[in-house]
Amino acid sequence: MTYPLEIEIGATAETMENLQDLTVPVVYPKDLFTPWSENIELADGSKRGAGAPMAVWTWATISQAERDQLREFCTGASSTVYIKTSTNDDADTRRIYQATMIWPAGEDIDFTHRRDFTIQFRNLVLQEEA
Amino acid sequence: MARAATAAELASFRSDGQYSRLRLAIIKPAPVFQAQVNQAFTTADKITEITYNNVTAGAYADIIDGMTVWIGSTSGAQDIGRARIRKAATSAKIYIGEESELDLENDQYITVVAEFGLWPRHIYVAATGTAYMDYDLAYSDQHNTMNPVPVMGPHAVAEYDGTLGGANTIDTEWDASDSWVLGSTISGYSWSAPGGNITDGSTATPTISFDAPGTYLVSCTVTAANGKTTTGYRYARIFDNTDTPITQFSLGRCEGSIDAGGWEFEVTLHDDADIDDVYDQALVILFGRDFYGNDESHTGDRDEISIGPIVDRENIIAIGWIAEETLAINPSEGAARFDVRGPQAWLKSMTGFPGGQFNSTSAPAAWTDFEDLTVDKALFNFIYWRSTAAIAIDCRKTGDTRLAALLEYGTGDLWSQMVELTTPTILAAPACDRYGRLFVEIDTQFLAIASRSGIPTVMTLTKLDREQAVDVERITTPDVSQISISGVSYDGLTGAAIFSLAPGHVFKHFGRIEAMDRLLMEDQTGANTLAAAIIARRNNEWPYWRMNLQQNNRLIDITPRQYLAASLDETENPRGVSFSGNLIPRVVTLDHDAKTRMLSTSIEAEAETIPGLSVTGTIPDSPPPPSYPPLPGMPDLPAFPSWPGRPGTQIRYVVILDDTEGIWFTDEFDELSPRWWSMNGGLTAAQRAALNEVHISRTGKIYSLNTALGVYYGAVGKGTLQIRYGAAWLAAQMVAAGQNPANPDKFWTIGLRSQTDTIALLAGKNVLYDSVIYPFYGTINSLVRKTTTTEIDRGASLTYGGNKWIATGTEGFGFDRKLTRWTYNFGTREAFSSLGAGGTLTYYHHARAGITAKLYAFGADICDYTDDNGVFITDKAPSGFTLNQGRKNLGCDPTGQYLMAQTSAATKRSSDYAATWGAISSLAAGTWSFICAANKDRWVAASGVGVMYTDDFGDSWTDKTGNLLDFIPSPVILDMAILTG
Repeated sequence: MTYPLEIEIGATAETMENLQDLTVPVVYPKDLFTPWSENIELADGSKRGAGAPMAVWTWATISQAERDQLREFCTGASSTVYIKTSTNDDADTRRIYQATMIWPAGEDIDFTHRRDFTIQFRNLVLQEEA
Repeated sequence: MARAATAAELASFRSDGQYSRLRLAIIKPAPVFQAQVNQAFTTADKITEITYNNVTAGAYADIIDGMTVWIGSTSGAQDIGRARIRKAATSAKIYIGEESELDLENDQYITVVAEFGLWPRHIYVAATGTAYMDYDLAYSDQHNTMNPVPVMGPHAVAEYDGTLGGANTIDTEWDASDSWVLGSTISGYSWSAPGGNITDGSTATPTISFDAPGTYLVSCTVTAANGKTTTGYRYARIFDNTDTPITQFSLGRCEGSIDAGGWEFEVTLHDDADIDDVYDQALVILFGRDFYGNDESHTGDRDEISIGPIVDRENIIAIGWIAEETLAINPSEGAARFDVRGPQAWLKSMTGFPGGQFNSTSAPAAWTDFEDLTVDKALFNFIYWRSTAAIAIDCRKTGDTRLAALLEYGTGDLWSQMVELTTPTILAAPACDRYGRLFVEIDTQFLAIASRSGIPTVMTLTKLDREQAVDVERITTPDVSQISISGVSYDGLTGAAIFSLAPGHVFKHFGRIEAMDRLLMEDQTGANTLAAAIIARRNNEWPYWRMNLQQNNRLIDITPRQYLAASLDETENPRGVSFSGNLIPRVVTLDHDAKTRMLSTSIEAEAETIPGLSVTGTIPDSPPPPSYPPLPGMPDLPAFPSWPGRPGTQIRYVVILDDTEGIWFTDEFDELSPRWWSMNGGLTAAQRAALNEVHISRTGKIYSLNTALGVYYGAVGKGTLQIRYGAAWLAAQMVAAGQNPANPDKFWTIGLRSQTDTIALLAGKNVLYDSVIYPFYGTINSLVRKTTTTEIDRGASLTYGGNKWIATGTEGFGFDRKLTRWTYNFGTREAFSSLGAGGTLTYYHHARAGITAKLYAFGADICDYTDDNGVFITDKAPSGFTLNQGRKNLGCDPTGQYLMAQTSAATKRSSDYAATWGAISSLAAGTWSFICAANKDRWVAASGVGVMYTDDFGDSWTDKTGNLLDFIPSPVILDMAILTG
């Protein structure tokens, strides 16, 4: 099946599914990838990227059902998951990573939806070439 | 050893996106033998063996010297305690290092585990005076043909991606090529790793592969060409995807400090990390899977590579043992924080008995002797025989070859004993690296420049390696204006004193004077270089640097010796100063950001200093005698009032000499029940019973005398005495003085100038009616025979005060009593007075006031008094009683006004210069010796009853006997000494 976007998630690499194929399909987020966690300024004024790669999925709004679907992958504050997400190669290439999924500490509830819902995926480990 | 970073490693350090996935291996050693106690214990004190039965696992033949024993109330538990196997077990008994903390009972459970930790080994001195190591190991040839010390590298930890088994194996590399032996060479290696497959197992560098996860015990038996062998033990912890390391933890402080002597780190584990399986003092290996950048595709791809100084141990971050834990009690999720500490912390927490090594001119015959004694030989004795360090961790020697007459250490923790052994002598110090390897090195700053050429520069720090912020301390005013060092160049027989000054005889413009003495010297040139190096380090212009390196750099450590090249541009600071040179890391910190997984290194360092100017020093001496006309006699000073200031006795040491058990001391005189310690290490029972007197100097040095054998010397607290001037030395002196060799020699007495550790000795020929006695004057390292003789021989006392030496005693086998007075350096004999006659005295000692010219010379029924240092003698013979004749049976306060005395019938005191006497009714009957503790009210008294203290001139007494009577049931006090302040 061809999907508009190859954004996937699963508890293992083998069980990853496109967000649209989940029991409750989840709308595609805006996915941001950074090859390191933060920038540090060096003595000569240049920057060094420090830490593991990370990705951030952001939804402007997401339904309660979609939110609960994602929650199945992270029942606590964090969990280890596998995702397929954007890289900085180009706009269309996505790759598979093992990641630590960080559930947002606070959720902005607007009736049946969440607004500005953000999930961080830290410590990305590239699994294979897409 | 440290090494320079390669170009590829520098590129990795400077790459983007570095991170580390931390892992933890907590070692749980396998049980090798389990049984139950089969013995009823009447005491828990000094337990050295345990009878067992009901063996449930293993065989006693599997028990190896150095293994750990757990004693528990249930099978496999260790709630009763732990001990160390000290020798092979039998079919009925296991033998443990001497313990007094195991509350052993019949049927308790014994578990011997394959764990080789750090333990002290105690020395045991039998009633015969013979010393045994580890309770019953007699000396044979252990200091003559020495055992090798295995240096087999740290424990190994490896993680296999997949499932081990079949063709899936994982290799570990080992290297014991740095093993060493004193006086021989390493001739062979034999590796063992049950469960592993060894390749090249008889070489120094085998490969051991494993096909299953688990904890493996790896041993290496190193053989020396002299035939001796030693086996070292390490673990290999192997993980795969069926047996994974702990990853659910956070790393807190992880730091190595040269001041602390090594590394410590904190880890917090949560419920899901098998916390309940962690036992106390477990070995912990912190390791990581490290990733560096070079991510040209910008996909987050990384090179997995670990960079470290030891081949195949690059993944290890730090190693230690769990010391403390903090438990977070939480109903939903508990957590435990563990403080993990390297060997230095454990050695600091273990108390060892005092010890010392003497130089021997022939093959050593005792645990206390080494032929051609060096710091490394004493260090070998310490790490190999006084502890288990040699088999449990890598231990490196200093390589220093300077000879010493004596190297000793006092009661204390094992670490401070090692420091005491190495720092005051050659300015070396122990330190452990991240892996727990022990290095004892002379600090880089104290090495001659030529000796620094082999020190590697790990890397040149550029602006690409650090943050902008760098804390730098710059000292522009010298702290030390002059350093004066002294020491001895010892060739194995005699020592030559060496003095050196830096920068010269004239001080620098600013700073204070510092002195350092008793160093071991090679020669004058070396001493001058050392003085220059010391003052350069003391006045380091750049003593402190702190910077955060934004890189996962584990090549840098606090030890072994290494440099970091660094520079500071004048444009980087508002003062416009610049620096270019080497830094020496003193603190290294590893911070792990749990959010980013970045493991970054920060360092504190000092700049390398370069030795400058120095000159050969002048041998110090007392000031010359003044040329002024004689001063009129001083009026008597009023009695000093009691000092109401500090509480306690203000007595640091009390030392007693018993007629059979020798010298004992306490440094706990303020305690209700002071503990007493022996100072007789190195002496046979006959030798300690033959000591005649004891003195203690302001610096805590003990001087004693045996009239036949000579002068003994040691440091209080170290527990050992060494003969420094013996019969052969005196015989040679008498020949040099032209005396008839056929006449017998004899040592009569010594005196001490406490403040300067200057001593004087009266010794010479023991001939009826024709004795010729010489004073010898100087320090314990250099006594010089003076030409001014005296006729005083037996029963003499010799004291210093008011720039004068005074001896009292008898002449001609006890028929005449004499007083002789010399100038401060025995240059002139100023007085030779006859004292009172009469009585049947054998001895004729004196009590001397410390701050006036008063002196009381006493015998059985006489007491002669002088208030002008012996020019005019008056009779103070007390009527109605007879004074005892021991060295301290009469004591006086510093003014000479207050006295205490033991008579044949009672104890007496006087507060009016011996004019009138009253009884000391509050002391039990005994033969008491008295010594005044700095003022008239404070006195220490000792007798067969015990040791007492008064702070009200004898109105009341406090018992300070402590445990003394446990060692000497019926003391006979020949002499005593105290050190106040």
